[in-house]
Amino acid sequence: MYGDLANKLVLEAKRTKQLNSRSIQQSKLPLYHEELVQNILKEVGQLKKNSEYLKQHQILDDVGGKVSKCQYFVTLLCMERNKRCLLAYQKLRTDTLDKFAWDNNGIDLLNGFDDVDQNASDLSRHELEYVKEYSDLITDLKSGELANVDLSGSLKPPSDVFIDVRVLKDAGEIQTEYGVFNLIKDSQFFVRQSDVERLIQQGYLQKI
Amino acid sequence: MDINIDDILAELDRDTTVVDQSDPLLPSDGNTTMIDSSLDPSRMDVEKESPGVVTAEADYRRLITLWRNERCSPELLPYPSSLMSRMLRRLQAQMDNIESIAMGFFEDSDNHESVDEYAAPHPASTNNKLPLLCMEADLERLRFVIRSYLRCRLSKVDEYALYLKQLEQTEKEIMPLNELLSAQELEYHERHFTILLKLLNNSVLKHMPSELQAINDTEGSVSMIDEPDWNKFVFVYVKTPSANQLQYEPALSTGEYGKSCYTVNIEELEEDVELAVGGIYVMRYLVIRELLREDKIELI
Amino acid sequence: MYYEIEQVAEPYNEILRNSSSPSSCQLVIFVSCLNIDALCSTKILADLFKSQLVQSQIVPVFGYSDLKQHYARLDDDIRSVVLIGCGGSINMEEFLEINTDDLLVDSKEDVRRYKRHIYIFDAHRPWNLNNIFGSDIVHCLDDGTIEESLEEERKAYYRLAELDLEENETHESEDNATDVDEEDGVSNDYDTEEDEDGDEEDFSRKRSTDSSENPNASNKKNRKQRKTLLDEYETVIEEYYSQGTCVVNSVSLQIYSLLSKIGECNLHYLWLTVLGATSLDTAYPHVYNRLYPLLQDEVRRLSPSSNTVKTPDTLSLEVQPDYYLFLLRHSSLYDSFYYSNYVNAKLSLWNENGKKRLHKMFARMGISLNIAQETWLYMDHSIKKELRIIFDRNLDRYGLQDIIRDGFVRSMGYRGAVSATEFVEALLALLEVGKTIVKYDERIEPTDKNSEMINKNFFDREEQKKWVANFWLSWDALDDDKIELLNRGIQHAKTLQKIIFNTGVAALEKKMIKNLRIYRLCVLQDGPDLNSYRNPLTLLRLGNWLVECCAESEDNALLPMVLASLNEATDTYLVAGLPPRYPRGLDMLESQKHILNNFSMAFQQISSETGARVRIDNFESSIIEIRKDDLSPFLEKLTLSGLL
Repeated sequence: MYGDLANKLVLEAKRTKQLNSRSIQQSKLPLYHEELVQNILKEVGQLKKNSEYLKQHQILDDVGGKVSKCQYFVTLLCMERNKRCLLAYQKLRTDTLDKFAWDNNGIDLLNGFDDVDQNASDLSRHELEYVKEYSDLITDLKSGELANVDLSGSLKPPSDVFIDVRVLKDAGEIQTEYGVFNLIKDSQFFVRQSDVERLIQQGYLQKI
Repeated sequence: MDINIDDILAELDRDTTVVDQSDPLLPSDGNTTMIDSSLDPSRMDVEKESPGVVTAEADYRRLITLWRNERCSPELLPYPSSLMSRMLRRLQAQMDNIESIAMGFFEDSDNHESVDEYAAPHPASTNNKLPLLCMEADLERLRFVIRSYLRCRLSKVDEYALYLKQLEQTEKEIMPLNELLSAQELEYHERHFTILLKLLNNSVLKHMPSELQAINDTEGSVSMIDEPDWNKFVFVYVKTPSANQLQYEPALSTGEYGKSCYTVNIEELEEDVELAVGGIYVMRYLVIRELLREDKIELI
Repeated sequence: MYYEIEQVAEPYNEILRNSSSPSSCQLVIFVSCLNIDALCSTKILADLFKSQLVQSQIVPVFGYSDLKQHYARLDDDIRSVVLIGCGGSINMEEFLEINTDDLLVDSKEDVRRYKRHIYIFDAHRPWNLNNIFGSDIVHCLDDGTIEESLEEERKAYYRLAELDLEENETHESEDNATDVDEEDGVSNDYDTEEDEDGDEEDFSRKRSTDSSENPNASNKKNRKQRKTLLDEYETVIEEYYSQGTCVVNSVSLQIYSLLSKIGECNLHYLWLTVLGATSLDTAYPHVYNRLYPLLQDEVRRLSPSSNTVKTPDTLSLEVQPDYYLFLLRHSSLYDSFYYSNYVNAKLSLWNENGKKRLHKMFARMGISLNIAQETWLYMDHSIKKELRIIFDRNLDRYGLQDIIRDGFVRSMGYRGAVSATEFVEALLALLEVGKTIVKYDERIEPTDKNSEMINKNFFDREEQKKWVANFWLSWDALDDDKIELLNRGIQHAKTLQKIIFNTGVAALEKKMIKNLRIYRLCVLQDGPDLNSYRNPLTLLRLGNWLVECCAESEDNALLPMVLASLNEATDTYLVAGLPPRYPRGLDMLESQKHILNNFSMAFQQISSETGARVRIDNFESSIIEIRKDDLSPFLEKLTLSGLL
C-alpha cells in the first residue's frame, strides 16, 4: 500500500529517538537508510504519474467523477504523507546531529570522527556536509563577545568551583586554554570545574 | 600563642577594596551612570526599564527574570540588547579582575621568603583564597545563566525558523526581526536555515514533484510552518507596579476586593478575568501575551 | 635532605608556598598502589590539600619503572612531587635522571633555589643515603631513625665526600673548582647492570671506581692513608645497606603528626591513620604494637564522651576489645576461628587433629557448634556479651590467650560497626581482586596465531594496570557513604582467605614446603587458584599464613621463606622472600628484635651474578618476577651463596 514504506521509515526514526532518550551516552545515529528513502521517492514519482494520469482522464459524470476525484485526492494525500515522513526522518537525524555538534564542538571533525561515538559512515554525504557546516557556524557564534560565556558548555547549573575528577583514558598531555593536563589513565585530579568541563564532556574525565 | 590579627584584617580590607573598585556585581553606590538611552524615559525601550539608575544588581535581577520568562514562554521574546551588552562587559571585567588577583597570589608566593620555618602557614594567605573562591563561584553562576538563556533562545530560533521568516515578511513594521533577535542570532538564523534547507533539498525536496518542493508550504492538510503553541498553559505572577505606574497606568483597575488588578479577556469562554496584583494564575499564553510584553507580569 | 621529627610540618608548608597557584596544577602525588598504609596517607594528604584549595594530581603507580615513566612526562609547571610509600631506598635523583642544573632557578649567596622539589614519605628502611644526605631536591620525612641511629653513616658519608673532593682537587688542580660535581664524589654504591633485551636496569647502588694516577710520588703516603680511611667509611656504608630491609613506621601516623603540628586533627583523619597503622599488623606486628598506645591515646582524646545518644548519623571511634580472629563481626564465630592465621598456626587447623581440637575447644567454652556457625549478627546475644570472659577462661589451655587485645572499632549510626582490622581486610581484598573475582579459567584467551607471542609477553603490564584501577576502588571504599563497597570487600576477603587456606593446607599436606637448610622453599605450579597469586598482595597473604604456621611448628628453626608462584600467561614466576617470624607471644618481648628481610639484597646480587632474566620493579624489593626457566638456577645460586 502506498505509505507503507514511509511508515517503516517513521518507525525507524521513532526507534532511534527512543534509544537515544534512554541511553545516557551521546546519541548515536544508525545508518542512513538510503535504500528506503530512494524507494519512497520512487513511490512519490509513481504517485505523481498516477495523479497526472487521473487528471488527464478525468471523468466528468457524477459517479465516476466522484471516484476518480477521490482517487486523485488520495494520491495527493499519499504524496504529501510521503513527503512529510521523509522530512520527519531527516529532521530527526538533523536534530541529533545538531546536538552532536554542540556537544563535540572543538573536536576537529575534519579529521574524522574517531574520537567520538558516531560512525561517520552511517551518515549520508549531505548529512556529513551539514554537520561540518553547522559546527563551523557554532564556532563562529562562540567567538567574539560571547567567548567568555562558552556557549557550548554545560547546561547543568554549576556546583563546586573545584572538583575531583578521574581520568578515564590515557591521552598524554592535553593543552587547554587553562593549562596543561597530563592525562594518565587512572589518576585523579583536584582542579577547577570550569577548566576541565570540556574534557568531561569529551569523555576523558569522569566527575567523582 | 599570640595571634595578631591586624594583618589579617588589613589583608581582608585590601581585598574588599580591590573587589569594590572593579567588581560590578556587588551592589555599588548607585553612581555608575552610563550614557544609555534607556535612561531616557520618553523612549519606549524594549526592556522597559524604569528611568533612573542602572545598577549591576538590578541588571542581574532583570536578567534572571528574562531568563525565567524565556524558558517558560512558548514564543521567542525580544532580545534585551543593552542589558546583555552591559552584562557581557561586566563579565569580561570580572574575569580580568579575578585573573589579576590570582596572578597577584602567584607572585606573592614566589617572593615569600621563608622567615620562620616552624610556624604554621600565614593565616592570611589561605584565607585570601576564600574571597577568590566566592568570586569564582559567582562568576560561574552568571555564565551559566547567560549560557542557558542564549541556548534557550537559539533552540527556539531553530524550532521556529520558518515562522520567523514568515514574521519577517508580514510584521516588518510592528516588530522588526532585529529587535526580536540579536545580530548574532539573526546571522545564526540565516545561516542555519540555509544549510538545513540545503540538506533537505538535496536529500528529499529536490526529488519531489514541483508542487511539493516548498519548505514552507501552507496549502496542504498540515501547514509546514510551526507556530509557537499559543494555547500553552503558563504560570504567571502579577508584578507590583511601581509608584509611577500606579498613578498613570490605564490598564490598572480596582477589582472586586478593592485590590488593583489587570483585566484580560478569554475568548473561548467570553469572559473577562481580573488578575490581582501579587497573585499567581495559570492561563493560556495567548491571553496574557500582551501583559507579558508590557512587563506587567512574569512567568514562573 | 631530610626533615627531622620537629620539622614534620615543613613539607606541607613548603608545598603550600610553592604549589598553590589558583590557576594551574602544580602538585603531583605518586602513590604505591599496593599498600594500604600509603592509600590512607594519600587520602589524608589529599583531603588536607583540598581544604586549602591546592590543585593536585594523584597518580597510583605499581613499580619503579612505572614511576619513572610518568615522571619523565611531567609538565614543567609541576613544582612539587610527592612520593608516598616508595622511593626511600633508591637514589631518586639518579633514578629519575634529574639534572639539578636544569631545575636551578637562581643561586645567590650559596642558597640555590630550584624549580621543583621531591618529597618522600616512605617508611621502608634502609634509607638511601643520597636521598637524605646528598640531594638538594629530594626531601625525606624522617621519624627519628636518622637522628638516632645513623650518626655513623652520616659521618662516613660526608667524610667520603670530602675525601673524594680532596683527591679530585689534588690531581686535577688545573681544573675549575666548579667542575667538581659533588654528586660524582658521593655516589659510592654498587653498580650492577643487567640487560634484559636492553630494557631493564637494576636500580641499586653505583660505585664509582675512582682510580687515580697521581704521578706525584711524595703523596704516596697520603694516598695510602686516604685509602684506608676510604675503605673504612665505605665499609660502614656497605654494612648499612646490607643489613636487610624492613618497615619501621606507619606513614599515616607520620602524616598524622604533621596534622597535629598544624592543628588539623579530627576524627576522620584519625580513623584513616588507624587504618593505615593497622595494615602493618600482619607483616610487622612489632611496629603496630609500638604504635598502638599512641593511637589509643589519640582516640580517647578525640572521641566525644560516651554518654551521647546513638543516632543514625553518629560516626564514632572507640577502643574496644578486638580479637585476632578473621572478620569476626562479619562471619560466624566458627569461621573466624577457622580462617584466622593466628588460631590456625597455634592449633594446626590444617590437619584433622587440629580440627578436632577446635571442636573440643568450642565444647569446653560451652558454645555449641550450631551456635558457633551462626552469623555473628544473629548469634545468641548472651554469648556475645560474655565472649571476652569465656575466652579469658578457656583459651589459656590452648595457648591462644593472646587472641584478645584492644582494637579500634568504628560504629556508623545504626548501620553497624566495623573494626579497623576488618576494614583493612576489606580494603586489601579490594586491592587484590577489584570489583569481582573473575574465574580466570573462564576468561577468553585470544586464539589467533599471534596468541603465542601475546600471551608469553614478559613485558605485559596489563595485570599491573588492573592494580591501579583497584586502587581507586579501595579509595572509594574509604568514603563513609560507600558501605556497599566495604561489604563487597569483606565478601572478597572471605573468599580470598578460603583460597589461601586451601592452598596452604594443600601445601602442608603434600609437603610442598622444602627445608633447604638456610631457607624454606615453596613453589606453586598448579592448583585451581594459581591465577589468584599473580597479585603480590595475595602471594604475601599466603606467605604470611605459611610463615606463621612454620613459626608454630615443631621444627621451628627461624628460617626465612621463599614463595614462588607461576604465572602461566607470562611464563614467569612471582617470587616473594619473607623473613622468619617468632611465634606469637614471644615477639611481644622487648628483647626480641624484629628479623630483617635480607632478600632484597640477595635477590639483586644473585640476579646480576647469574644473568637471569629478572624484573625487580616492585616497591617491596623482596618481591621479584623471574622467567620460568631461570628459577631453578637462581634458587640454586641463592642456596649456595650464603647471603641469608
